[in-house]
Amino acid sequence: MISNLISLENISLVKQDKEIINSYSLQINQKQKYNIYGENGSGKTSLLKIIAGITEPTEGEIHSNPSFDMNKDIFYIGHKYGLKNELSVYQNLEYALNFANNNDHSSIESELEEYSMKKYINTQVRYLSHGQKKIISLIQLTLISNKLWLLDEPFTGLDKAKIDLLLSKMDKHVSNMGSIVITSHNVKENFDNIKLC
Amino acid sequence: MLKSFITILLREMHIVLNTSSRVFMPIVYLLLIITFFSISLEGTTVGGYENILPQIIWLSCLLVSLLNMDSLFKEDYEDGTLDGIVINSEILEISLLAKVIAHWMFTIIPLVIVAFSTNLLLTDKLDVSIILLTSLIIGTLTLSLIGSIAASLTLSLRGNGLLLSTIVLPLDIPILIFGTSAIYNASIGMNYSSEMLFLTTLLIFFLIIAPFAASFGVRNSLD
Repeated sequence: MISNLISLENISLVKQDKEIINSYSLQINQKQKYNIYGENGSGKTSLLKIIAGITEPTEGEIHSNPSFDMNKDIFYIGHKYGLKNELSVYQNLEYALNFANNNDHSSIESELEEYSMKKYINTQVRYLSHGQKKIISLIQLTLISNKLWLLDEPFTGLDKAKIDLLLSKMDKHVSNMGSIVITSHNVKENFDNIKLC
Repeated sequence: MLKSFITILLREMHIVLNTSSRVFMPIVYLLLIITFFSISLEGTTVGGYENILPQIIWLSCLLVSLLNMDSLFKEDYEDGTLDGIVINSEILEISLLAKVIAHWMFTIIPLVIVAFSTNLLLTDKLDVSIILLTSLIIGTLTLSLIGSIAASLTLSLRGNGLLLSTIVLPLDIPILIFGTSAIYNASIGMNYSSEMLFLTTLLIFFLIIAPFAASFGVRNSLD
């Protein structure tokens, strides 16, 4: 049975006297992929941060399913990659797994291989390009596999092959009862597209 | 809860191991300050320079520990790892306390060991050096906890170093007074237990309130 993970009810956000989100409601269900799209400054990132629990809405309520743990079941990747420049690729992924209480490090190498990044396994993240950092950051998703992925413009900076691979990973996650919310500037195929004005 | 605490400690240890300048730069600064004090005060101090050396070392440690206080959460804020800590921590206060303890263990403790060794080498007084070491261990941990509150409040501000020092310095003064008094009393053979007790009380007080205040500050800065 498909159940509801999180409900946002009449969410509003005001920052420095500027209304960013006005009375917005959204239901995030299991096995769904949502694409929140809109122009620059329409509040996409702010909405994602509200769902993640980073930003407190000015008004409105957020309800979550009792079986859904807001601390353990969300994985958020924003505009920053969440990687430590001073650590190697392997150390970063190992740290992410340990922090998520997952001691199985066996899949790190295979995931890196899939994204053609295995040769960088011992390279410090500071020496990687922006695109490569983004890939490492996205590899964390499949390694940890939290129920809800919140991704802020995940396809920006990736080549066609990596975008296709990421899309197939997303489909696999959704078929395993997961959910995904992404933001972008336009409508995406195979996503529930939600326009934010 | 303990797992995330240890994970953060180990991560910070790996970062320090990969960037040794984080440990060595404060030590170089400490030795420079002590040397400059020695040059400027040599021959001008009644009763000999070595009598006030422990106090100078205490003051130098305080100044050097202030230098990198703004980086306590700043790097995690800038690279996005702080978002992950805030979202995925079972208890955010425990994770932030782990950050402070890691900063103290891997940046300040080497400084304290160098301060102890320098004092022992220059004064040849083991008993006073041990009091210096003990008071510095208690005092610098308290300074780090106070610094974590200010660092969290100034996290989203550009060039936050000056504001952070302005917030932290008045709170650091009691620790400096009681730390240097304890060493002075020890060096002239007087009782120093009341000063040490006061330092310990301050440590316990900030150990209780700092994680909650820092958590509030971090959440507000990310908001």
